[in-house]
Amino acid sequence: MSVRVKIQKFGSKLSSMVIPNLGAFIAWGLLTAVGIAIDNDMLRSFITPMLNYLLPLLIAFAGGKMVYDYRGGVIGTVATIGVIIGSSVTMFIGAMILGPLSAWILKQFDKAIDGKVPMGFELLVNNYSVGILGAILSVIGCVWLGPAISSLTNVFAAGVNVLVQNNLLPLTAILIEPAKPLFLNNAIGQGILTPMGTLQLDELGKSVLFLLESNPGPGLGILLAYMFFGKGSSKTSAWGASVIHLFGGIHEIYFPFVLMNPILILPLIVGGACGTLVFTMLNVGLVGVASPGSIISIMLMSSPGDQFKIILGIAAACVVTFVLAIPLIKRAGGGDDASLKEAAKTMNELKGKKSRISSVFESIEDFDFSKVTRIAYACDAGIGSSAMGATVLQKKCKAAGLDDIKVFHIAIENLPTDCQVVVTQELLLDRVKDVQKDAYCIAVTDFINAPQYDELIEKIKQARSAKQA
Amino acid sequence: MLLETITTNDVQIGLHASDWEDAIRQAAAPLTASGAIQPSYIEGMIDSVHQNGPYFVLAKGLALAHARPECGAVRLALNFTTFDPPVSFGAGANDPVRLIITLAATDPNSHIDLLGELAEVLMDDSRMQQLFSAASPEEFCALLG
Repeated sequence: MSVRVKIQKFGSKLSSMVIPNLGAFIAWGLLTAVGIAIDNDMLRSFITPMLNYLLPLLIAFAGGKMVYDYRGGVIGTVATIGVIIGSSVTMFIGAMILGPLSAWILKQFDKAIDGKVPMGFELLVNNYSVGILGAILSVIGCVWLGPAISSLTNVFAAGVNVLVQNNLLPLTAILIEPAKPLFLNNAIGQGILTPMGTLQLDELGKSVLFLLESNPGPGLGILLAYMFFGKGSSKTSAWGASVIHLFGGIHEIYFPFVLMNPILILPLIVGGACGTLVFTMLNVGLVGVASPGSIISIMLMSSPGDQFKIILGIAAACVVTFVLAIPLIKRAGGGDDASLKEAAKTMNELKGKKSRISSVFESIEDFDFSKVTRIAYACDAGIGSSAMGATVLQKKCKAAGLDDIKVFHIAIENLPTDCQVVVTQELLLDRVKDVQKDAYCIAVTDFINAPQYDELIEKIKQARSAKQA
Repeated sequence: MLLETITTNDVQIGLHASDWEDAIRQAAAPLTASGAIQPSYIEGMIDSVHQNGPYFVLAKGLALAHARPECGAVRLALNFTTFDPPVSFGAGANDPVRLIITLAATDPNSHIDLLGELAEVLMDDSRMQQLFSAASPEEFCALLG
């Protein structure tokens, strides 16, 4: 296993402890922000117990459950209460270590006694193994691990403080921006930024650390640069991608654009650094984790009054990345369809599993629209609806100057036929796909004014002009 | 047979139908009467909706009712029937149907030129709306022009 895969697996383990609990982080962030803003004692009384107990214990439970199901969750939580009691700092890191570790110990114990428990005593043994092991582990945690993890946390915190005090925080972009397209960001985000940011919250009421990785500005800059200076499908998909990126907060969507032209890492780093510089100069922060890194969740998590300044930082990151990316994209010829598709594949390989958004790219590029010459319009009888639809589509093709495209109507039972695209009524789409597997299928509900007609023609025209260019 | 050959005899205006089956029967009645289709063709159209859903509801408010030639199409014929109130075909966004064009075709290709002319008319949305609300067969034929 390569180092990259190891870090990645580590990162995804960390995120599976944090991400399921983000709702609790958000609840805590909101209570804290509102409590401090309106200076309400009742709300403020939530802050410390939630931070010290609820959040680490939730992480411990998720970590234990990941290793050994519900029993693992229980013992992880019990053991973690020990490190919480035995130390003075917020025990996220302790929870991340002790949660899975205790569950693993319980698992080994269960394996060792498997088959040796007399019938009818399983429940007793199961309960007491968790109880006794949990009690022991929590004491160990309190006496030895707590202080050890406290000092480890303090080392990290001191490191962060050094960066903050010397205005070196922007340099973290050198690490964060390249890590993102390689899917290594979870290890950084959940392992360091989330716990350290939460520590800062304790002291300052907000933290800029939550903005470092979630800042959508740099990625947006890349997508905008492709939108204006890209070619072919990288240009057309950049628009939709930027909406998903900025508002949906799924940053993965810009990774293929970077992977197909890796030098773009440079504008990303500089852009990210500029964004962070603005954040630190304006002294802004979030009151909780912004995940996903959508502009919406960032605005909701912004410390009161910081919203506009944060947008400034995001915009700075975006503009700097955009400007620096332009020459690099132009130099690479704007990026062709094949390499974007290839990059989307690379992204899946890097991630180690299929990205939920890679289908966005597949649907665009898997089919070569420039080769379309024959379009079949299929319906059940092949007489009326399809004939009418074919007539309309043929007229539209002619009007668009696509004279060589032949649109013909056909009964579904006569498929498959020699064609590249099949258009049919929505209700009949499944039947068409069953018999004509090689063609690109389009379903319409309105045979006469279907918006899909114009989309198809536009795609064919673009694919053809991209070929010629 | 092209659109000019459509006469007021081929147009029915403002019929009432209890449901979509009734609408198809009423719309096809003149074709049975003139011998362009056999009664089995009507059942063929209705069966087709039962089997495949209302896929011949082509556009908002417009159905092109037809069956396979072998269901009993005797000769190429076309009939236009508008309904008031419009009829629901269970066709989602294209419901309710205000105009049923009943098509009898004896083979897959002989009526293509006719449909081409028809498409020309129907692609013009304002003209389609005028057809929907035509008050008399004469007005309807004039709009088809």
